[in-house]
Amino acid sequence: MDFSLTEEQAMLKSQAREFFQRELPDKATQRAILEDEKGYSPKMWRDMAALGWQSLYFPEEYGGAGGSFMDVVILLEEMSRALLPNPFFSPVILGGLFILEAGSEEQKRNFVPQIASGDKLFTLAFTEPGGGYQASDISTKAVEDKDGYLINGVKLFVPDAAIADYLICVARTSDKALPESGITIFIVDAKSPGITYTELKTIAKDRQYEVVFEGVPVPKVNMLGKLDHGWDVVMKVLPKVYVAQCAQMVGGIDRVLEMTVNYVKETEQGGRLLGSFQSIRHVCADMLIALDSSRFLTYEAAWKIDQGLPFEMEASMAQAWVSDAYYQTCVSGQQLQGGFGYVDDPDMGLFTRRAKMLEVTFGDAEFHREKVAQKLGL
Amino acid sequence: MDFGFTKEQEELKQQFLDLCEDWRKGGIEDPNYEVILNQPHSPLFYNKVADMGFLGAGFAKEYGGSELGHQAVALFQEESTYQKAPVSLSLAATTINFMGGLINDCGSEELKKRFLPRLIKGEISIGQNFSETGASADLASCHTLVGKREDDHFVLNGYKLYTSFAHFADYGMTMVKTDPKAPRGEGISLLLVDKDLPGITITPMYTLTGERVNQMFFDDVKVSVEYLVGEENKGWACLSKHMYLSWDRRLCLYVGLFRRILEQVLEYTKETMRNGKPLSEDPFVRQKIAQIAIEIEAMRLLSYRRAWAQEQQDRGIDADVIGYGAIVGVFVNSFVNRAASALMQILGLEGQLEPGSKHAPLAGTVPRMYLMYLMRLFVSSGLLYIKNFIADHNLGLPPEG
Repeated sequence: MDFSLTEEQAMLKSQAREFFQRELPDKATQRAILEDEKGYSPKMWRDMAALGWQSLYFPEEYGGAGGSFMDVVILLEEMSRALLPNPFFSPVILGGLFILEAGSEEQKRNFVPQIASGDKLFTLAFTEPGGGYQASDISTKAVEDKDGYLINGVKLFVPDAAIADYLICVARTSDKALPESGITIFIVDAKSPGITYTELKTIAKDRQYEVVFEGVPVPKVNMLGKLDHGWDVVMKVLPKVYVAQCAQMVGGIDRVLEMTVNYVKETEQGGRLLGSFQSIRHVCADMLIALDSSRFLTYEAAWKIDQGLPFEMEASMAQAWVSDAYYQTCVSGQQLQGGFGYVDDPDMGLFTRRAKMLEVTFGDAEFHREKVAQKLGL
Repeated sequence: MDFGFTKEQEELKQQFLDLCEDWRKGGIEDPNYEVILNQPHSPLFYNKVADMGFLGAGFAKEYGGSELGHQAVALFQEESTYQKAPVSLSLAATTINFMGGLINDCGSEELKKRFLPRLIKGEISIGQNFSETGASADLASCHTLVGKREDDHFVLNGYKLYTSFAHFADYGMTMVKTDPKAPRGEGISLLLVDKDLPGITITPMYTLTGERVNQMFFDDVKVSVEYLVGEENKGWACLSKHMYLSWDRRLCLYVGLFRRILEQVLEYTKETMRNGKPLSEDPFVRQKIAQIAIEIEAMRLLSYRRAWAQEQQDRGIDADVIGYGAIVGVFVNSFVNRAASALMQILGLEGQLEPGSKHAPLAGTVPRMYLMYLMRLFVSSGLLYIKNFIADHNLGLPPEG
């Protein structure tokens, strides 16, 4: 085994770190972007595209840089550390991975370059009210009509929907004995008639939406993959999404540990530095162990993706472990930073919010432990 | 980043697996077979493993060291416990990696030549005679065994406690207070003491799981200065630099062991009914088993990282071997506890049945494991001590107030 980054990956990591330190020099800048109507900075987005970041994972033949999944994981860590106010995950991971997996050659040539250049934003419309990530939770219907389909239903927790150009919509096209059969995926123009967006107020303050589809027309050419076989695509893509999400969580754990250690090194209570109290030292040690274990479980899954090896077990192992580790690290960070971390202005609170959001997104630890149990043969 | 193994490492692993297979089929009887700290140990098999080079990684060739990398050794350790091979990794790790490491780094050239080749080949073993009352995690406070220098030898009087291998190891690396007036951490010498020297009495103490450790009493025991490891009165300076070797030297022993136990538990849950259904369908059981599997994988990766870091350091590339080793030490020592406890919960009422009992699942291994791994909370410096070390070394926190 080799636990080092390549020279290129180390450069990518430091380049990203410097970029975000420069572009987000203070909280005021970051908060202004987050609270802006768009929720992101188009200029920063274009600057990222100029660095090739949106194109990193896509094949060169579709305008990508031909990078590895590990490269994207490293970049996502840095973005999460910086609390990036940008919709990178939605178009690149949620949109791009689905199109790469199931798109026809024409769809890939049409859409992937647009994602890679940063010109178009995609997102994923998957979960529904009261539902989770099982096929039986999909009841949004797509019914055949003239040259295409009409979609009716409600999707919840659709990230960045209001700024998206396209929605990857997972819908039910027929009712069969097995809920996994009869699901189809569509690329929906986000400006189509019949779509209504309502921003949800989430703990993470992260621009997730309710998207209501009322007779929304979708042309047949925008079917992604085969009719009624969409769940096969979902099963192939979601494990990669889990790993990408773990990368975000690892970046968060990294930064929370760093902030907390800096805080206890500088802050006094009772006439001595907080970091000199044994109990605090032990908690910090636990946070470091959580970081390292989370990081390498994530990296192993990413490496297996790049090697073309089965990775679904490792993806769920990572998600189960890392999502617990992230929110627990944030609890420790809040505890050690006391009142300073509890006031809403510093970053600690935002990491705490994001940790709880990510804990339940794409399946919580219990969901993924069940997946691991199945993979173990139980 | 690469989580696979090289062709050479895979070949070495296969050679070891072939050795295990041949051993099982051959039905070889070793008259000196024994159980050391719950691990089966055959000196004959130990010699074969030594011949393959798995025991000498990190030592120079001139002392009998092998050129196998530390990851190859970690692979051997993992497979060794997975295959239930008759080699005590605790013995190997203590006697070669830790004690041999001390001789290698602090001993005279003459001492290295006399001891290292025989250690690595498995011809002799060296136990650790460190702990005392009030000086087990805090070894720098050692004071109960005093050594008085007389010409070309020391005269030892006093005692040591909890010495694991004293009753069979040929020698004991012994911490001796050779300057009783010196403060804590000073005036300590390391002496290699032949266990058969006149004046040594060894009496057994038994742990919760019936494993033997020892009390050692020294009554005017004469030890030649040629057995001094490092400088007189400066033994703690040598030992303290190598304490990390006691935290993580077993590396992947627990990975293989828990992989094997997990497989056995998986089969058990499929075959065993509870409340009219197989145990494997119980959501609580499924969650617990999955969690153990996840932690085994995390432990495996952290352990191999430590081995990789050692290889980097051997190549002259900067790598935080000690820091990574501390992380492994804490993770492993807390995991084995949690896992053994969780396994007992999975097995339910039958989980309390010990070896030899009717109805005992998995031959009663699990409750033994639970009791044994309570030890991991305080041995090898102690889990909490290592966390303090991480706070200092890995995180740079201010010194404890």
